[in-house]
Order: sequence, then C-alpha cells, then structure tokens
Amino acid sequence: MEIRGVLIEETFAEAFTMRAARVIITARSPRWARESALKLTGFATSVIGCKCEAGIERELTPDETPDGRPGISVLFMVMAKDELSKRLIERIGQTVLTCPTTAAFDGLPQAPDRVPVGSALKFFGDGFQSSKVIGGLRYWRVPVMEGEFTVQEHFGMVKCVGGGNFLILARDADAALAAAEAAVDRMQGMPSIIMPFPGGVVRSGSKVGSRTSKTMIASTNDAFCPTLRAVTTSALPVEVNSVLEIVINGLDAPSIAAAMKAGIDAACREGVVSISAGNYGGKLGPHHFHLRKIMGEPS
Amino acid sequence: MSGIRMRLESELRDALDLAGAIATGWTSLGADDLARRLVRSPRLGDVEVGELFTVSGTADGTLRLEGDLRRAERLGAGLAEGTLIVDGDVGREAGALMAGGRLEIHGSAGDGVGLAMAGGVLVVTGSAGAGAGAAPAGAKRGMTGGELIIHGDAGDEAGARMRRGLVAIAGRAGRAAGLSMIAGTVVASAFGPDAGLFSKRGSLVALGPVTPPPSYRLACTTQPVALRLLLRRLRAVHGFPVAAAQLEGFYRRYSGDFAESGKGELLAWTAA
Repeated sequence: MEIRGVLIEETFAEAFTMRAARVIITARSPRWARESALKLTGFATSVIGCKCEAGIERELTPDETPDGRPGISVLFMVMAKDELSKRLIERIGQTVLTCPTTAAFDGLPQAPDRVPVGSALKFFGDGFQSSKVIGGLRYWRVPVMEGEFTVQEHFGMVKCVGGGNFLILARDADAALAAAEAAVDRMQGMPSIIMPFPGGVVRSGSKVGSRTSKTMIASTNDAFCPTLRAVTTSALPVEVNSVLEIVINGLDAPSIAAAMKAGIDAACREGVVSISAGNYGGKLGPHHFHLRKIMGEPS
Repeated sequence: MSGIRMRLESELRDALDLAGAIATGWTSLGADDLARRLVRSPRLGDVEVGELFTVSGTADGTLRLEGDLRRAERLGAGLAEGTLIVDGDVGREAGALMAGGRLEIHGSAGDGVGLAMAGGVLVVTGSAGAGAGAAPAGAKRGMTGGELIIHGDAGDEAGARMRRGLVAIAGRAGRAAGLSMIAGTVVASAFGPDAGLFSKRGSLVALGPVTPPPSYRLACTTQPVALRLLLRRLRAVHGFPVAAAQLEGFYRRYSGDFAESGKGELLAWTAA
C-alpha cells in the first residue's frame, strides 16, 4: 500500500493498557492555565523514566470548564492503578497548587473508579482548609498566599491505551522532521489523545531490554538506527537516513486509530520513504494497530 | 398525562399531616394503592388519602398535588425518591427530613420547610416561613444534606444549626440566618440582622446587603473559585438569579463567629 508514493508497511503498532485521569486546569487567563499545564505535563514522556505519561489534550473555552474560566484539558496516564493517585497528588501539588489563579477539576466525572487527590492535597492547608459539596461533588479550598486553591476531592480513573505509534522513515533528517511536524500538527487537539514526547515526536525509539546490561529495561532500537546499518540487523531500506517516531496515548483504541490515520496521512510527503511501526511481535501489548487497516486498505 | 394526580376535594378545616401519603416505596404504587395510604388529622385521626383527595393516573415516579393545601403539614416529609409537585401554597414543615427525590412547591411554604432534610432537592417558587432547613425543636442539627432553593424570601433562622447542604434564597433572608450553623452554605440576596451568629463553620454568601455581626472580622476581599462553582450551578440548574457581576465579582470575606471557633465565613459581594 502506498500513499502519495510513501510505502505503508505491512506491520502494526503494539500498545498497552494503562490507567488514565483527565485533569481540567482552569485559571484567570489562558496564559496561567497553560503555564500550569506545561509544568504538570513536563518530564512525563514515558513511564520508563518518568513514572507517568502526560500531555495537553486541548484548550478549553470558559463555557467548557466547571468554573467558567479558561482552561486546559490534560490526560495523565500510569501503568498501575494504585500509581495514579500518587502521581496526581505529587504533580498537581507541585504544579497547579503553586501556580497563580489555577484550580484543578476532574475531567472524567462519569468514571466509576475514583482516586483521591484533593483529599490529600488539602493537608497543605494546615488545618485552615475547608470544603464545599456542590452538586454532590466535594471540592477542597486550600488557603494560599494569593487567595485560595480549589481542587476536586476525587478524580475519575479509566483504563486507557498507551503506546500507539508510527515511524517515519525518511531520506534525510530534514524530511523526517518536516513530516513529523506535519503529522503532529494534524493530530494536535484531536479528542481523547495525547502525544507525550517533546513536540509529540521521539527520536529515540527503544527496544525491550539491553545487549549490555541486565538492569536496563529499554535501550536504543538499533534496527531502526541509520548509523548502525552496517553493524546490526537493520530494518531500514537503504535510502533511509533518518527515522522519527510519533507516540500516541489515548483514552481508547478508536481515538488512537483515528489520530494515527490523520497523522500518517499528513506524514506521507516528499522525502519520506515509508511508514512503519514499533511492536514486540505482538506478545506484550494487547492493542494492535495495523497500519494498512487503519489507512483503509481493503482486507 | 402520566404520573399520579391527587386533587383535594374540599377545603381543609384543620391541619392535616400528609407525611404518610408518600412513605417509603410510593413511586411504584398506583392510584388505588396511594388512595389507601393514611394521613392524619388531629380531629379525625387517621384518614385514607382517598377520603380527602381524588387520586388518578398511573405510576411513573411523579405525584402532583392540587387544591388549597395551606393547612397541609409535613407534605413530602421523609421523601426519599421520585418527584412531588405541589401547585399552590403549603403549610408547615413541607419536605422535613427529606432524604432524596425532588419536591417542587409552586407557591409558598410555611415554617420549617426542609426541616432537617438530609438529601434531595426542594424548590419553593414563592417564599418560605421561619426555620427553612433548620433543626426541629430540641434537635442539635438542622439540614445535613441536599439543596433547598427558595425563589422568594425566607423567614427568620433559615439554615439554623445546619450541618451540611445548601439553602439558597433568591430574596431576603430574615433575622439570624445560619444561626449556630455547624457547616453547609446559606446564600441569599440580602440578609437580616444577626446573620451567621454563633456559626461554628460553614458559609454565608450575601449577594446583596448584609451587616456582619460584631463578632465577625474582615479578612480580605477575594474571588473564591468554589463560590463560582456554586453560583454557576445555582443559575444553571435551579434558574437562580445570579448576575454576571456577582459571578465575576469580588467578595469581602469575614471570619466568624469568634464567639465560637471563628472557622465560619461570611462572603459579602462588593460592587467595588
């Protein structure tokens, strides 16, 4: 299968089940909502080293937020369900509680599983905190120097999918980067997905384990490194000299598939040789995103 | 029309305790079963609903009462499920001890509306007498949950000794609203004297004039986000009159009552 001369390889992306929360950050202005969201989602590219994966889903208008102020929707994901509350408490406590004018609300109110967040952060109030139950939901009011930090007591938790991906195999680094940027621009703001890596793009795709260390759980994906073509079993066509990966996490598999379709379509442009995907032979992750099926090839 | 309809056939000459009409499990009952429920008259003793009301319709979880119910007491008391709609004014203690469901009074309510209610939504489109959402005589606690929305004025001691929940008064609250309140929230467009007196915790929100008791102290002028949440809900869900200036505006925060713990607050909207 080819799209505008770019080969769509007969392969699939392999993804994992994770647990997610959606955090709605509001503030007096879009600027402060964004400042807080950027800090909240900073250093959250991969659970391998960051304990969580997070990203901005989209900006929210005042009529979309609980308190009628400008907001940002953030998706926050971890591997184990008992991790979610810990990570949310750490990060909201350090990046939203601290940020001028912001408040934090649950963006998954229908989720039956709830994890405590505000009920832990309230203790920063040193006994001066108070709460209000509004519409059956409890909100904590923590006094701070600027005024008051408001945070919802519990956040919804749902199963989600992490690790949807595709690889852009290009003739040179400029072409790979331009295609990756086009793909991310197309996918940015699509519902229920995030791209947790810098600018949505990964240059250091990994394989499971390591040749040289028993303790490393991931190391460079040498099969896709152009500089190693001569010394390893390469997966790269001879004309490929640079590869970039787009990683997509989502609240559900269809959202990831929709984003991959849009992103791959945008990435099929001048200088790109083929589109591939990262997988582990289908043995590790339960979610398989077959590239050609996603792109609409008749089966 | 679906639902059950109860029409009072003749004017009540005495008070009538209607609490028994919607005792637990009423929503699945048909008209005939509801007509056999007992209500209490001080003069006649226990009387079947059907002797006083014409009961018709089919069960769907709603019950509409019609007629002159000003002498009907404890209407909807203990309501835990379904929706009760009353066309006209009602007597004292309507919705007392409500635990859930919805009671709409399209008229005014007597004293003690929502007395010690624990859950559900109680809406009065007119005004309410004294002690709305307050505690029964001799009891330590008033409301412990739910929402009591009064679109007119309320009498004295609204929300007295309330523990949780919300009393929202679109008009003016009488004297000593939130008297000795333990927690919860009372919102009003204006408060009479002694609002929040002896309050331990909880919030009084004045969208208009209020004079804090001398045992309250001014803390600051602020814009609490939690108040935005509350006012937006009141406006969106209950059609409560909240102006943009009140939603976006500043509030003077008074702490009190320092005759008690001083952990309560009175938030007074300021146009400045």
